Formats: sequence, C-alpha cells, structure tokens
Amino acid sequence: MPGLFGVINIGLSALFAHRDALSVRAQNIANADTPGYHRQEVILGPTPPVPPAGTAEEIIGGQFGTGVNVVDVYRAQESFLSIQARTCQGSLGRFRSSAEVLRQVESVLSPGPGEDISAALDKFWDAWESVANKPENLGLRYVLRDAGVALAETFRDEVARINSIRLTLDDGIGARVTDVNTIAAQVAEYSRQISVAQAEGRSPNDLLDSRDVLLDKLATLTGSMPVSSEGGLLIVYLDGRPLVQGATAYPLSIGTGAGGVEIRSGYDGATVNVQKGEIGGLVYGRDVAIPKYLGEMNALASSLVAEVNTLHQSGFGLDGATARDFFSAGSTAGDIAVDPAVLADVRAIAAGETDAPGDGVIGLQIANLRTTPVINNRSLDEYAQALLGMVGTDVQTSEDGAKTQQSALDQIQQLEQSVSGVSIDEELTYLTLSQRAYEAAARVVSAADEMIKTIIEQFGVS
Amino acid sequence: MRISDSMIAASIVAQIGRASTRLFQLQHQVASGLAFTRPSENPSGALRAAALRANISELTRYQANCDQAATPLRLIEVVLGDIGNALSQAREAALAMSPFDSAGNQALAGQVNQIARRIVGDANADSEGRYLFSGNEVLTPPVVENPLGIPPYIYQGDDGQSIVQLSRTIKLVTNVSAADVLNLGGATDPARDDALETLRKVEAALRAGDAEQIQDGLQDIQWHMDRALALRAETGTRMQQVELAKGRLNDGVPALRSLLSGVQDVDLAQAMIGLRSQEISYQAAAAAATSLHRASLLDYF
Repeated sequence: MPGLFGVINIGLSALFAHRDALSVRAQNIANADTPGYHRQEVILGPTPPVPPAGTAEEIIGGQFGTGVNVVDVYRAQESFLSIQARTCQGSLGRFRSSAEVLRQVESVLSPGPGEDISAALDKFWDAWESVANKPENLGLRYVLRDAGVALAETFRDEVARINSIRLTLDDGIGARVTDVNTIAAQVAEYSRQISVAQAEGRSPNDLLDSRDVLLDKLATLTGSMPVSSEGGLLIVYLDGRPLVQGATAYPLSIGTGAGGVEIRSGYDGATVNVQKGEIGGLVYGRDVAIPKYLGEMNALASSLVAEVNTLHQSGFGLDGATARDFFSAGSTAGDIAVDPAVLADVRAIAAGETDAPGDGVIGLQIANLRTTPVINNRSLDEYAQALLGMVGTDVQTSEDGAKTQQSALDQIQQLEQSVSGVSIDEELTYLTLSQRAYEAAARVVSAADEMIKTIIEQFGVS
Repeated sequence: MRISDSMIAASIVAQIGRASTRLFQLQHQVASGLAFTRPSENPSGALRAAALRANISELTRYQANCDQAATPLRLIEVVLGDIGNALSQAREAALAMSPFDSAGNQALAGQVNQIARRIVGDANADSEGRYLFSGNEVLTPPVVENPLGIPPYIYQGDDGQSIVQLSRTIKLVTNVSAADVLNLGGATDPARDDALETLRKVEAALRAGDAEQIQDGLQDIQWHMDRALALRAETGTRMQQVELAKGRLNDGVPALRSLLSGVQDVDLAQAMIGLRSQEISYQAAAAAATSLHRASLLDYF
C-alpha cells in the first residue's frame, strides 16, 4: 500500500512523462518540414504496481499503481510504402536521365525546320537538278559543290555533337558514382550507430530517418533496394553485389572499358551493370540510344555516298574525265566530305553521260535519288525524316515514363505522408493535452504535500 | 485519410506546377505560332511535317523546272517559225523564175543565198550563251560552213537531248537539233538533201535558168517546210505540256502548304482560349493554396 510519498512519486512520474511527451511534440513541430522526417509518438504506460502481482499482499489488499513512464517513442512508418517509393524512384531516375540525354540528341538532330539533314539533302538534290538543267553553267556547279559541302558538314557536325554528348555522359556517370560512394559510406556509418543504439534498447528514430533519406537518394541514383538484416543493419545490392553490407561499404570504382567508363564493384572488382536509376539512364543513353542514332546516321550517310558515287562514277565531267567520286569514297557520317577533285575544280562534277557540255543525264539521275527508294525500301529523304520521328518518339516515351513514375511516386508519397507526416493541428491538440496533464500532475504533488504538511503540523510535538 | 501539413504543401506545389507547365506550353505556342517545336512534342506530326516540307521542296523544284523549260521552247518555236517563213520565201523566189529574165533570175538567186544565210543564223540562235540547236554541245555553234564546199554547211553538234523534269514521271525534251530541223547529214531522211544544200542547188538553178532543177528544188523546199512546221507543232505541244504541268503545280503547292500549316501551326484562336482558361485555373490553384494555409488551429489556441 503506497504512502503519501508514493503519491508524490506518482505525480513526479507524471510530470516527467508529460514533459517527455511535450518534448516529442516539440520535436515533431520543429521537424514538420524536414525531408524524410517521420512523425514520432510517445507511448506512455503505467509503471509496475505494488505489491507485485501474485504476492500474498495483493490477495489481501489489491494492487496500487506507481505512476507512469515512457514505454517507447514510436516512429510512424509503413515500410511497404517506402519499398514502393524506392522502386518508383529507381524507374523515375532512369526515365528522367535518359529523357535528358535523348532531348539533347533531339536538339542536335532537329535544330529547327530548315536546319536539319533533311533540309540539307533537299538543297543538295535541288542543286543537282539545276546543274542537270544547265550542266555547262559553272555558277550552278559552284552552288552544287557548296550544297554538297554543307550537307557533309551537317552530317559531321551532328555526329561530332552527339559524340560530345556521349563524352559528357561519362562525366555524369563518374560524378554520380562518387555520390553513390559517399552515400554508401554514410549508410554504413548510420547502420553501425543504429545497431549500437538498438542493442542498448533505444529507439534511434532520427538516425533511421537520416538513413532512409540516403537510401532514397541511392534508389534514385542506382535503383538499388536495401534488404534488412538483423539488429538494424541492412544490405544494399547493386547488380547482385553488395554495395553496403552491415556497417561496411564497398565503394564503386571507375575504369575505362571499350564503350567508355565502366563501373566496377568494390566487393569483388567485377563490372557492375547498372540498369536503373539516374546512372542506369545515362548508361542506357551512352550504350544503347546514342549508338543507335549514330548507326542510323552512318547508314544514311554511307548509302548517300554509295548511291551518289556509283552514278557519278559513270558520268563525265566538263573536263572530259570520268570514273571519279563526288564524295570521298567509303566515308560515313563522321568523316563524309566532298571529293578533293570536285573541291578543287567544279568541272570535275560529272553531270553527263558523255563529255558534251550540255549533257545532264547523270545529274538528273542523281537528282532523282531524292525520291528513289535505296535504303530499306525508303528514299534517303524519307530515311532522314524517319530519324527525326524516331528520336521524337524515343524522347516522348522516356518523358511519358518519367511522368507516369512521377505521379505514381506522388501517390505513394501522399500515402507515406499521410502516415508519417506531421500535422500541426494534431500536434497542437496533443500539446494542449500534455500541458493540461502536466498541470494536473503538479496539482497532485502539491495536494500530497498539503496532506504531509497537515500530518506534520497536527501530530507534531509542540 | 490522415492529412499532414507536408501533404497539403506537396499537393499545392504539384497543382501550381502542373498549371504553370500548361500555361507555359500554351504561351510558347501562341508566341511562336507553332503547335510544336520539338519532334518529341508530336512525333507523328513532326514526321508528317518533314515529309510535307520535302514534298513542297520537290514541287517547288518542278515549278522552277517549268519556267526553265518554257524559255528555250518559246525561242525554239520562234526560230522554227522563222525558218519556215524563210523557206517559204525561197519557194516564192524559185517559183518566180522566168526563162526570159536572166537579170531577174540572178537577183532571185541572190535572194535565195541571203535566205540560206538567214537560216544558218536562225539555227545558230542561242539563249544565255547556250546554243539551242546543237544537242548537248551547247557551247559549239551547230551549223558552220563546210571547209570541203559541198554540202555547203555541216552540223557540229550531237544528238543529245536536254531533259527537264516536270514531275516524278514526266520528263520533257526541251531541245531540237539543227541536224533534225534541216536534215543536215541526212539526220532525218538520208536520201534527201539538207535544206541548205537544197537552197544552194536552187540558187545554182536560178543562176543557170534550169527549170527542171527548180522543180526538184521546189519539191525539196516543200518537204523542208513541212518538216519545220511539224517540229514547230511538236514544240507547241511541249509548251502546252509545260503550261499544264505548271498549272497543276501552282494548285498543288498551296494545297501542300496549307496541309503543312495545319500540321505545324497553332490554331491561334483555340490557343488563346486555352491560354485564358489556363490562366484562370492557375489563379484558382493559387487561391485554393492560400485558403488552405489560412486555416490553422494556431489561430484559436
């Protein structure tokens, strides 16, 4: 049976508990806008009663409470929502960074109407037809030579710019790998602190919040997902190899491979194939998208060179010579150029079947390549146009993918915030509750004090 | 559902973000006048616009070809007409031969000689430095005096054709060779004298007063007149072909341009209305945001 001092102790425990509750409310309000913060809640519980359950005293007089204490500081989290959010972040990172790469390629291939390869091809065919109409006119031949040079330059310039985009991708991948390593080291360190705290029976809520933010970043960068192991530790796998295992991080390293930089695992040194996240998007852009466009441009340029040269070889220049090329033989999109002989003297342009100055038969045949299907059943013009359609569709697919993932992520984050987010109104309400409880506990202490005073004053020796 | 403050903030940011993105897109459309500036905004439209642009450039080329074909054809027609007239004058001179007027016959012979020179001048006509009647040897005068004497003139062009394209399928020959017109070197009828040799013979017959020779010459002159007329008619037909093609192209190019405009240009009225309604929805999102933030328990405690 508790005495009056027991009542004071109960009041005291209530004062402590409600002060702690108040401090957690204050922490919630303070972190209402902190990214990754999970709302915390104080779980109060009664302290063990006296006498202890099952003793003889209890059977005679029943149990009396001894006060209240903080059982746990609960962290409001739905772990399956975090997993879904990270899956979305991995896909979103990939779509977003591949869309960025593709948009850059698009701006190279389609600088605007009248400035792309299609337009340069149009001018080239037009110039051939002008020469075919008046093959003896040197002025028209100069125009044709310049149109050929401009067309070749357009090809070379676009290839050079796409290649430089490719090089910047290597830098982008390298910078992100450095980020991944920093984050992995931090995750390992937080994991160590968390496991120590949990072993001591504490709730390391704020450390967990910080680690979750880092894991989200890691998912955005690489699409990797953490797997929980015991004692608050976890393992993060990347392409089947651990990046973080418990309190140890295995930093990635960068090497040079055939296709540019290669990411190597710090665990066993093997090449890591990152398919998701921002790094996955950049790797896709570098290893799949850009080679595809360069391949298409090479196919177009090689076919142009071959078709024009074959006809040109069969014709005669104004100087009476034959069997010469218009474009440097065998060149592709990266090194296409007008043949030096033509550059040196426009009379070398072979417009005629014979060496008669007014013969434009070959010129007309070359001009008609404009509409002749020569590559995959399509004309060169149509092929160049299809290239624009292809890059447009690819950018759109990536952007749509990013949009879809973003709205899915928004949805999941809404749900997460619904569980974990801080509501100021709610905090204020509970704050008032704690405040009142604290006031009441203080009143309990002072009431007990009054009672003790009564005893001391009434029964005292005077 | 439990609503936290960060949810409210995130949803306000997302809504205002969406509204301002749409607003920006419409503003960009209205300002540029284009429905899309990057292929990715409308891949099929971009493909179609590129195909239409290529098509327009092809047809514009054919239009220019029509104009280029018309010039030499018109000149050829005029020259052929003059050759016909010259031959007809030579025929009259031959018919005017009198067995009793030797001096008159000499004058007629001189006239025929002048006519032959006129025909040579006609055949050597050029357009912008390009000989019209020498096949593909456009820089060489087609008819020159024969250093061997007989026949008096020879053809030094070739039988090359100047071909101009009026459409993907129509190719038009825009030249006639002097050999063809005048039967030089027996290009058309190997058994018959060329026009200039005929005139030389008629001139000689007039000087000699040989009526029999004159009769033969008259037959040949008639044949050459018919030939010139036939070629002139053919040239006229080609000119008509050019006019027809040009008419078709003049209809076709504007039609394609309006199709292209339909694909790539923005419907300004529609875009303006869209812009207006987006502005309103942007303002609505902003108003909703302020009213959400206004209500708080903080005001009551």
